[in-house]
Amino acid sequence: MQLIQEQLGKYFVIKAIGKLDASWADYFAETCLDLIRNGHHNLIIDADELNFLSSAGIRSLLRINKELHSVKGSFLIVHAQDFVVKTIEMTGFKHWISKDFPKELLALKSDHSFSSAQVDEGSFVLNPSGSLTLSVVADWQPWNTVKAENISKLHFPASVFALGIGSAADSPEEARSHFGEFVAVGGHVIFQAPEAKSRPDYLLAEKDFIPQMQAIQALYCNGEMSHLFRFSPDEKNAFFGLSDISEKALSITKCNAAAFVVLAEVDGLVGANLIQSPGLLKNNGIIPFPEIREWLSFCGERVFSGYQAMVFGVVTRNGAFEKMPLLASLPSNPELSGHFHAAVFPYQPLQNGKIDLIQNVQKLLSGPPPQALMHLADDNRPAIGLGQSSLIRGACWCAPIQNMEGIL
Amino acid sequence: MLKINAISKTFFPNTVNEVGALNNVSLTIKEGCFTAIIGTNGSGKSTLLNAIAGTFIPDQGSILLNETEISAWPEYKRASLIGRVFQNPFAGSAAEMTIAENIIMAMRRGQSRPLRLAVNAAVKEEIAEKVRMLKMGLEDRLDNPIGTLSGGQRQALTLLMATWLKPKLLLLDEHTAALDPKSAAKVAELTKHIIEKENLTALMVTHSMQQAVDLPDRIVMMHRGQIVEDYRDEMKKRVRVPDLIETFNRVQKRELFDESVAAMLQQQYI
Amino acid sequence: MNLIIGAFTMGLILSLLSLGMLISFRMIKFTDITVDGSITLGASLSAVLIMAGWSPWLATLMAFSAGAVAGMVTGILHTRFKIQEILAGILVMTALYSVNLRIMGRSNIPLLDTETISGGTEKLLQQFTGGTSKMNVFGWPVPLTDMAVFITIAIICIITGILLNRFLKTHFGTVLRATGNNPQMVRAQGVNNNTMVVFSLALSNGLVALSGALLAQYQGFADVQMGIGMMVWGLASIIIGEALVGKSSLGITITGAILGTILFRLLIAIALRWGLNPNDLKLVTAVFVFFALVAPYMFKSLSSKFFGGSRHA
Repeated sequence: MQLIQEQLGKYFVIKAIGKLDASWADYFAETCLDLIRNGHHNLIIDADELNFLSSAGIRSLLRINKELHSVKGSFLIVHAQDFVVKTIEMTGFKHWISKDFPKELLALKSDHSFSSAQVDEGSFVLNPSGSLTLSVVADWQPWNTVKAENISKLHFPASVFALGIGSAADSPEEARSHFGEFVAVGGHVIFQAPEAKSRPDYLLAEKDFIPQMQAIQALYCNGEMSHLFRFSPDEKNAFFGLSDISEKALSITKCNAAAFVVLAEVDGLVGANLIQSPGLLKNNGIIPFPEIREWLSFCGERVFSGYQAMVFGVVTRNGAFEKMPLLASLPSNPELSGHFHAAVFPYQPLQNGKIDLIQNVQKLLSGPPPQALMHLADDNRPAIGLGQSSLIRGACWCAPIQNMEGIL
Repeated sequence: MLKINAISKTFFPNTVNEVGALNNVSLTIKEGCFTAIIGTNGSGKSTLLNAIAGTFIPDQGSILLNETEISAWPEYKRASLIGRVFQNPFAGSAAEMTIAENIIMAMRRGQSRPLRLAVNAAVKEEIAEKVRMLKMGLEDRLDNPIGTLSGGQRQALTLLMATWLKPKLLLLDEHTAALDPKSAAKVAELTKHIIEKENLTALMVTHSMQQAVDLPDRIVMMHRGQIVEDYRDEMKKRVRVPDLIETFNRVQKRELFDESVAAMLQQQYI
Repeated sequence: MNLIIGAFTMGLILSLLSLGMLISFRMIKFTDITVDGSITLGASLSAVLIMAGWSPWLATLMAFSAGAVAGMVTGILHTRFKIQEILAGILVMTALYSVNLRIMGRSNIPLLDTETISGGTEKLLQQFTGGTSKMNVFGWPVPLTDMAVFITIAIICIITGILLNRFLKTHFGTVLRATGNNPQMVRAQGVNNNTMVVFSLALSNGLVALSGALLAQYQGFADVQMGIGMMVWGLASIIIGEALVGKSSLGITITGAILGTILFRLLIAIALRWGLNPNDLKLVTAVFVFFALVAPYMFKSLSSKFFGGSRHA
């Protein structure tokens, strides 16, 4: 079969020529799913020259429909021949069928001057007064021994966004051997036990359950996000570095200190994570190479391309404040300092437009489990540096931190 | 029982081609244990096998087989204790000689070679009996040169030859790697069958992680001339191919973590 | 008839050389150039010993032993000191030139009116024919002496051939043959392949020296130059033998080497009779061996040229 693709306004039209049977169903479905992944959420199949539709073909249509449904897209089949209409009607998907293109599209069609529209770009104000209050837990300095008074107990109600090093264990003593990175969004905590072999685990806020962590390090934000902006590749950028996103978050919230959550498809992540709990440290002071390799694992190359990442970060403009603990200067943009943790999931499509953070985080967490949790690093080593983490397409919710002066 | 004590080997020392092939490797294998060695190219897995077989003498360390120190023995002397199957299916038998002659040589592995006629009817009957087990129809072709057989058939015969006299240790050096998938599966199955039946102590180098998971009792993973992981007993039963791949990745990650990374993370990991 | 008996006798004597080379060139696949020296060694040593009054049988046996030692040296140079096969052979061959001169004291020893190993047979024949000096073979009168030599040598050859065949089929002989085929496999079976190489070269050069001892006694002289080109002659004989009867079994290969040598001598005798300049003999042999070596490849490429295309059609 042959597929001719054309973008018309917000719609994406696929003219299917030939037979949609078992041997072509997968090809057809993959092509459409790829389009959805690239942000085309309104698909129209022009079935004018589709002269066969088998059960396998129906199944591929179902797959596409399901994917579009999850991103609240639309799916339409136009100009279908009688028997195609009948087959689809029999399976109970009558609402897919339409005689002709939607009116707005026909108007576009007659007007030849239109150009390929921006698929998804834009920013939205969610709550103009939305802001976050930051608390810092930084009693523990890497790589000193962990004292009992360094361990703080943190609660994660739905209004909290945080990152840090901690453990889900009940008592501080139990936690000692389990300190690892965590990231928390909307009360849901994703953490990784510090073993080289372990996968991340998570605590989900449900009903009355409020997750808790024993933390030795944390950037803990409480409040409400104020802005949302979307990003996707265009002629200028094929992907977006973390420093670009940070810069945009600061400028959109018009402040010098902001926190943000990003849900996005990954271009490549660079970072490190603990493989041994700092609670087990015996001596104070910097751990030299090569012993440091017993404590930290570094990704070694840009990883998780094509996965979906959930990043929480705190970013400040240098010079605006006194030097803050837990914020490292970003070599990719020397004006900024920040701290970012990312949880990595298998890819899930994201709806276009203005979407809700908590809903989408819940949806992500109800899918396949997270693959990794990383402290993102900006690797600026000359010649061999891996650069900064970058993302391809997604959404960023952000808010100003209002009490920045206060904590210092 | 095999006991390897801290052996090291450097090839081409003090030249630009210097290769630290084995770096302080220690390994103990219990009697009757079937162990697989996996690792990346150049990880030293075949070198370890060759050190045991005696292809070269290690720079340091000792190798004890059956409580006998063998690390100074020449290759041919070790053959009295060790049976071997090579990666190249043509390496384990003499192509121009008949199947029967090849097997007869293996029937006296490590023993004296008297001036008596080698092939006679009784011996051929004995050989046919055992070759029939392969179910390849080779029992009727004992007088054909072994070079006329396929790689899979030759490798099956080599395996039979290596285990004809029960060896204290069986060394398998990627012995299915050069075969087509079907023959490889057959030889792998035969390997498992013979090792189980004879309760052999065996060491198998393999590229196939699936094979490492399916066949042996223990998996040893090597990297850069060192043993980096050792799955045994309960651990071995639980391990699956993705676990092995993950371990490989972890090992390689660790490799990429060098001093410059440490310096960079000192700035970035706070 | 004299010519034919002569060629046969010569062929039989040199077939011992071919058998020796069969072991080195074909069984353990060792390109052994020692041959040129060890055949002269056998001739010179036996000549000197016979002149000194030794029994020709004992002298011949000594020649065999001396050849074996020469082969052993080549083997040890190669296996122990890692010298390339051909170079090891050349070293020993060159050294043997001086050794042979030392043994003989001069470059040529004539063996006139001395006892030879065929003496006993000749007496036996004389008793049988009643004291005549010639006997009737298929209607031709043949000198008794020639007939005695022929019979003796034939018996030696046949016995050697049978013993060799039998030896190569023993456990030891089986491993020896495997050594040339796959030394790695031989080691894996617990046999020191280097020992096998040294032993084989000793046996091989022993047979070559034996051939040399018989040659000296038959020709009636030993000469320090007589070994030159012998290796090529032996090789040519082996190739002719293989072409003649194939090498489908050990017995056939051995028979082939003997028959090949005889045929080769007959061809040379005929060629010389037709007026081939004896000086050109070695050139002709070398060219023959060249063609024999490349013929298999030429046939292959020729046949693929002629038939390769049609297969695709």
